[in-house]
Amino acid sequence: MTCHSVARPDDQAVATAYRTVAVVGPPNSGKTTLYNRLTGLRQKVGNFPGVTVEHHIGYVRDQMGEEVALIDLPGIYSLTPKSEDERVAVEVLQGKMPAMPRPDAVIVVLNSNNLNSHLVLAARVIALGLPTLVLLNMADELHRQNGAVDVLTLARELGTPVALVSATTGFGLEAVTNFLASSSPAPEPLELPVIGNTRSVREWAVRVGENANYRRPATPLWTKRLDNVFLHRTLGPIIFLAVVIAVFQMIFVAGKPLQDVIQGFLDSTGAWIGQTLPDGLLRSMLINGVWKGVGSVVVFLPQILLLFLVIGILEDSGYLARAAVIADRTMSRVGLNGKSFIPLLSAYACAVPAIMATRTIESKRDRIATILIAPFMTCSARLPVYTMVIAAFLPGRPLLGPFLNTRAAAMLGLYVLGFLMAVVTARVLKSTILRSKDAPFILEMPPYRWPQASSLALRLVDRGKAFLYRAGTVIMVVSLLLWAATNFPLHNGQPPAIQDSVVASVGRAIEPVIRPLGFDWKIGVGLVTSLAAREVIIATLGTINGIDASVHEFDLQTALRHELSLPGAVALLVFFAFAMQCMSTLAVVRRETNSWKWPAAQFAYMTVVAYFCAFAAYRITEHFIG
Amino acid sequence: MRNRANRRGEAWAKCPIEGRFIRVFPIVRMSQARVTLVVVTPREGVRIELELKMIFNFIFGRKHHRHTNARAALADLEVGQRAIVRELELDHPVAEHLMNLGFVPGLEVSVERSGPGGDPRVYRVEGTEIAMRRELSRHIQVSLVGAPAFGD
Repeated sequence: MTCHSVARPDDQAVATAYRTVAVVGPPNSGKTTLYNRLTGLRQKVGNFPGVTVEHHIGYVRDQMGEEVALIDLPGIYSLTPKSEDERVAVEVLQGKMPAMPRPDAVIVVLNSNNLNSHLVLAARVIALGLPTLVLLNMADELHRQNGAVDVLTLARELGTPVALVSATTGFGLEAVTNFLASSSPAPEPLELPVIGNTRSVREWAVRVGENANYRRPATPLWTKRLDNVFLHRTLGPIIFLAVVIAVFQMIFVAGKPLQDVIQGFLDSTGAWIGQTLPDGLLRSMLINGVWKGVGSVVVFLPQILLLFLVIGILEDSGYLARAAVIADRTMSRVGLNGKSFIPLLSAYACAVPAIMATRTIESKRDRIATILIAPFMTCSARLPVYTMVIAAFLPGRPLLGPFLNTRAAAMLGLYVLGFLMAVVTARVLKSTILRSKDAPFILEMPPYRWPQASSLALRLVDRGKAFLYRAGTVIMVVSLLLWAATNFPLHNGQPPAIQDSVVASVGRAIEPVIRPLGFDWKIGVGLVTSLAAREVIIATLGTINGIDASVHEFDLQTALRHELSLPGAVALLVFFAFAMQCMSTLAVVRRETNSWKWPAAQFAYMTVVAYFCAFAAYRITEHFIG
Repeated sequence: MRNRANRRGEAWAKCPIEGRFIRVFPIVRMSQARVTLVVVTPREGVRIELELKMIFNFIFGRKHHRHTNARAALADLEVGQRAIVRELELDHPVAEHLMNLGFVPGLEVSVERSGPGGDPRVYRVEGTEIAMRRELSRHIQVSLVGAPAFGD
């Protein structure tokens, strides 16, 4: 094995205190927990220019009270730039990333329970020649499971400061603030392996570990015991199904009251604004345009946050990796692997975060296939539409005792419908344009852990903000446009009757196309406006009916029964199950695939499928009810 | 239970109840997940079903005891068996990823458990547990350390 010493970095990096420090570490090293612990809420998310990899920049005060920017790099195993994540990490560390200064120092976070594998990354980072701090995370688990490592010897071998820390308990974290204030020199390790050769780096890592008297901790007994149950031949899949059902149950049972509270608050504030402002165009714009637009987004927040909370708990506890193993066999039947399961589960809350979550899928073709089928999953924006239409047309009668009534059954049927279409689409895609040899399914099984409330809370805030921003801006613009379209052209300085407004002419223009589905121009207007986001159709129908004198006294459900026949209602449900009516999703797909090709194809495909399936549903229902 | 087979296709099995050898007619039956050998004794009418996997293990498992350097693919190992990684017959990025996770030639790997339906399975290497499908573990060459006794 050849060894070489590390070049000294430029003097400036040594002389001054650190301004920007990069945090790197392999996946499952607890890097994010540590990062959150250090920076707390003082962080913001951004995207590196030109790539889809997200990064966080947070701020932390060192011992002297100086502010230091911490850049959280994606979780990586090595610095060979083969994946996008790794390329980004290498470019940032080498200072080649535009709009991002070269970090003055690096903090490498390793899992002390798996030192031999993770030292490989440390070797590669140290070889970059930046001042480096090596943190051996999860010290609490190491000690509890009877592992040991001689930190001083390891520090001498690596030529860098080394500290045993625990991000969950906060043990040893003063080492970080010390390091940030100290401006320690660049590392001078005793020896470093040839970096390109994984095998020789690995042998080096084992030897360094041996020199530092590294004793690997035993696997926690309860991880084995839990796996005996969760990955059991028959019990495993049963528990898996129970967990999935429980997740949904919780989201709807706990989410509904929260949603009602928010709705009530929005209604009363809307009414208050109405009372305080003088009657006129401005009041109408604020209430019917702005406030309703805000409301239609905010109302989904409880459900989305609940879903992220549950997924976060499953992920942090380690169950999600087991669920992926259980799901893998089924997923392989449609040509995908177990990793697609996690994004597809998130898609039941919202396709936007689901598509963002597909980044964990290494195979590009599998990733695109997952992105393309995710919007078929019944997202929470479809729920108000389903609820309203079902409630208007289907009397709630018990079907299976107290457990299932007709309305719940119809809802369940729509969930199944979306899922089936996703399966069919995946099969078609994977056997035609996205055909690939099955992507390798390799998944690390972390030990079971208690989820940390603070880390969950931070992620919820992060996701909540992202949802409000990404969905909110689009929907706000569209609801303002819609308001303008319903209130113009002005007639003698007054808003026109709905029949004469711009929106009505759009609805009438598309009426011939949607007539075969049993929709009239009002539904047509709803379909147009719901291109922004599915639930907007409710607000639209409300707006249209609210200012339409002929149905003023009826509530929305009654109004709907006036506009739609039963076959038309079924067609509407089917249309909503399949159509891609979500600008936010399209925008995210565009960003994640880096081209307009996929979102355009997705939009066209889903609209065509929705149209013809809705037509078929209309005809079939018509046939059966005579 | 002991089995012997002769060249005529009949087999002799030691009857579990009476402890003597009886003549049986084996039928190989393939179902979705397993290949089973069904033996029916004509006189006693006893029906014995054996998974070929068990027989294979019985015959070859002992060999592995004698020749500890026997080569196999990781996919062929049974749950609980241990082996030394020899070679990754895989494309570079995949092999590199596996090596970063610990599948480095010379290190010990064990089959920790099997997912429902036998695929994917969970392997343990260097204190890390990693799940992968058979289509991948088929290309990881290992040499066996020891094999569990028949019936384990």
